[in-house]
Amino acid sequence: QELKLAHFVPPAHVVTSAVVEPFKRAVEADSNGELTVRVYPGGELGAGPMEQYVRALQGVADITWGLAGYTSSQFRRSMIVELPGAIPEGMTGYDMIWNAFDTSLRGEFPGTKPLALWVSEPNVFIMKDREVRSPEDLRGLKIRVSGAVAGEFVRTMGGTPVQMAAGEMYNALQTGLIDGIITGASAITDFKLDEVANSYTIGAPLGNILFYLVMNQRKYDSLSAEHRAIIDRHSGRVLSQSGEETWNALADRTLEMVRADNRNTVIDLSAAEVVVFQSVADDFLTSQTADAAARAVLNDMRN
Amino acid sequence: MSNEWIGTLGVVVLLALLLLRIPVAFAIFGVGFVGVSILASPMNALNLLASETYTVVSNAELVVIPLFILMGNIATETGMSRKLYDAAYAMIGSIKGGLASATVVGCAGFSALCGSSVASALTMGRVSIGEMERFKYSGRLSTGAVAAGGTLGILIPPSTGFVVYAILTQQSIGKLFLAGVIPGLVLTALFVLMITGLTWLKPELAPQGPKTTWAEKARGLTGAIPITVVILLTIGGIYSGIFSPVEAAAVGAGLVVLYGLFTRSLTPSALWRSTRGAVITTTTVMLILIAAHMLNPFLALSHIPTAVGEFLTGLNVGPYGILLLILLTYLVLGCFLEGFAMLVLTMPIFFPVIVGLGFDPIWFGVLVVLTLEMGLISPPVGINVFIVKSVAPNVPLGDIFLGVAPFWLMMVLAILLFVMFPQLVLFLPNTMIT
Amino acid sequence: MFMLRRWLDRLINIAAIMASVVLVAIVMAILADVAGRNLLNAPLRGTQDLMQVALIIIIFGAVAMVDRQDANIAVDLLEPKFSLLLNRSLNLIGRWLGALIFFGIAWAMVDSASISKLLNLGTNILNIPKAPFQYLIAVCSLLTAVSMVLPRPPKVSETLVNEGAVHE
Ligand code: NA
Ligand code: NA
Repeated sequence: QELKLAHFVPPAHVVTSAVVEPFKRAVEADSNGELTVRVYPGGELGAGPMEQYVRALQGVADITWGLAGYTSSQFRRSMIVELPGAIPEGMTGYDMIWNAFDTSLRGEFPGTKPLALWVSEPNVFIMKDREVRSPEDLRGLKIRVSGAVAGEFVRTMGGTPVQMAAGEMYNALQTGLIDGIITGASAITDFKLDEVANSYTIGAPLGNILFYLVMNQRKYDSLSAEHRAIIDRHSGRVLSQSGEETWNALADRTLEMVRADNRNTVIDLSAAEVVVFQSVADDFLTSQTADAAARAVLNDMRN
Repeated sequence: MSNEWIGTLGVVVLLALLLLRIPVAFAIFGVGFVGVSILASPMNALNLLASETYTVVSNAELVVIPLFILMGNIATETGMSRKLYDAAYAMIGSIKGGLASATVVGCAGFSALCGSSVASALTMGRVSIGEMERFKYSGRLSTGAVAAGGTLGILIPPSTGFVVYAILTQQSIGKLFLAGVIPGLVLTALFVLMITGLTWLKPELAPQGPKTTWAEKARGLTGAIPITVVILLTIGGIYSGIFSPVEAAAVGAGLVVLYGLFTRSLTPSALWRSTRGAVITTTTVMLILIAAHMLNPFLALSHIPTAVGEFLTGLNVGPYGILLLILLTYLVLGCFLEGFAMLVLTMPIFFPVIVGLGFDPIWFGVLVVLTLEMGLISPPVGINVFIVKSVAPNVPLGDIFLGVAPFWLMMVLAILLFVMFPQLVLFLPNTMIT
Repeated sequence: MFMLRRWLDRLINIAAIMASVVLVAIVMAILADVAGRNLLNAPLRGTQDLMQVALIIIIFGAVAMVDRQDANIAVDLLEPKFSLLLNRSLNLIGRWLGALIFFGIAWAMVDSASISKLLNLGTNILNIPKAPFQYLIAVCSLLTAVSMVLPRPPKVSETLVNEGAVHE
């Protein structure tokens, strides 16, 4: 039995070592090679990030990987975990998601069985020629963001949110079309942003990015009870943990590389500076979870 | 039958359908659909038909295609393109074959404004072939120069060829644009050299034009000022961060419309004609692009990409041997496939191999776009040749292909040059973006 | 049959007009975005979203017209070598294949639209729902498919289509 796993990024992307390979290895070993996973990288079974969930749902591929933020209208509740300040000190993103999965989030994943749900490392400021130490410093700056909520947060801090495809970030930062980007540090590696950015601010609560790895439900149901058990054993929190930790490790390596380059300014915010950002983020989180349903989801996540 | 054989059969059927005059988009769609139906399921094929179509037609970055075509159409309607051409003619019209050389230079100039080879060949063809006919230039030389010169549109920035490559391989559009500048100028020079050499050997191909006075040269250049300003503003706007390349296309279109309205050279009906033409040209090109997206999953499911990739990487011919084989593969494919379709189809196969061998992806992008250019003028599917044929109905198709041949050889020479001296390609991107 | 053709041509023309108008509109939207961002620190919200849906209308609005004007790119290298009968048959086969494909796109797109509604899919900033645009693609594809299988009209209505474009 072969499972087709498809994604839209190059084979060298961190997703391979974070979830694809661990899942493939574990499933194949545990089933003595009866259940295999064939990977179709780089959009071979369908290009681009937008239709990944739909492809799993329709069974074009059995398993797909994607970012919730590309189709945020589908993941309103799940994406609460992305909000600045949503993840309390000492909790992991994947734990929060799985805590709330059965009670609040399952409805956002119709027709599929989520194999892993996890978040990226915390977002940071990736700037060119601008140093950010307080929300004040963002006034009038053009900041690339990836979604409506992130754009709202930039506006709250006084910046001008700019929408663009991820592939355009490099050029835009280089020419000065934008002054900076808010995203995870791993994107610095993915998009070679270190060639054009020269100032990084770390420690402000700027949210995270949610990822999913989902499997077609019909395909899952069609497997033998034994094979289903194997998949269950190697997915869920276990696989999500691997995803989150591998992402964090890449971010750490990337930041080390950035610090090693003496052309860069790396600003580690002091406790006092973080507090200023924290209060903006808290107000924002409160306004974004104003209705009872959203608050309930956040509570489920945190307990 | 193994998956690989079904895939190979699919490619053979595709070639047959193309030669049987089935429209390119439908032939690719049909083979992709049936192929996925066999290798996966008809349900999967139907689902892909919807999701691939939607993915391509809702890709905001591809808006550059209609915008640049619109800009080119309006530049033609207002006479701006023709004035640019006039200026080039005034400068080098009296040199042997100067009119054809001017056409190539005009093509290079227009290419700096327009990202599509199709639009470049169409616009420059409309402007120049008639003029060269007037000066008793041979149809073979004039159409060959336009068909080949038009391909510069995807080498000299802005370029939809680079945009598509960048989207497929996640490379920086800006770096690719910069990397295309010197190769574009080198190739333009090679084309001019070839024209001069040809007309020196066979003067009857191109009677020498009249000498122009300095006053005439100045007048020609003055006429080209508006379009030069538009080019400088759009390119300057990109590099100073005022707008993105996609937005530059809209700004450029806006500027030529303003010029047209200001000088009263653009009537509302001409504006409408330009828009309508842009929409139809866009759709024609995009249908092929969508179709190629449908062929991609079929080839992936046939495991041919993996097989070819493993075959090539397994060959003991060294990195440059593999590069050569890949470029040769592109040349062969380019004889049959439309450029962008070929890019979408093959990049997932070859790009990881090239990057794995340690070659610079920007440099490779320029080589790929150069081979795409060659494909645009190679039989049997030479899009630019068909386009030129449509504006030069009196010149037989076979003559155009013959006329294009010497330029094709110049492109081979250019590729060898850039493989031997990668700095020609990488100098600008590496010095301007660090 | 002739009546049906005339109505179809009218629809095809309206769709192409819609595509052209949207192209002009998106140029203006992008210009407003660029001006707003650079001069007022206030970009036009959701221009990316507008570009996405604009491209859909531009392409599928014009898709029937592309066939109507025989603008589809084909390899006619062997055309002179084939007999008139063979050429005509190949034209017919090409059109039927095209019709089948556009019918398939229409069919699959309707199915896909129901999934978009299930998943509540829409654009990221303005939350423009996806399903209506999939229905639009389906309708335009169907229009193209029907137009392709209907007999080609005499030259007269070919000019009618073109004139319609100029007058409107
Ligand atoms: Na160009
Ligand atoms: Na060709």
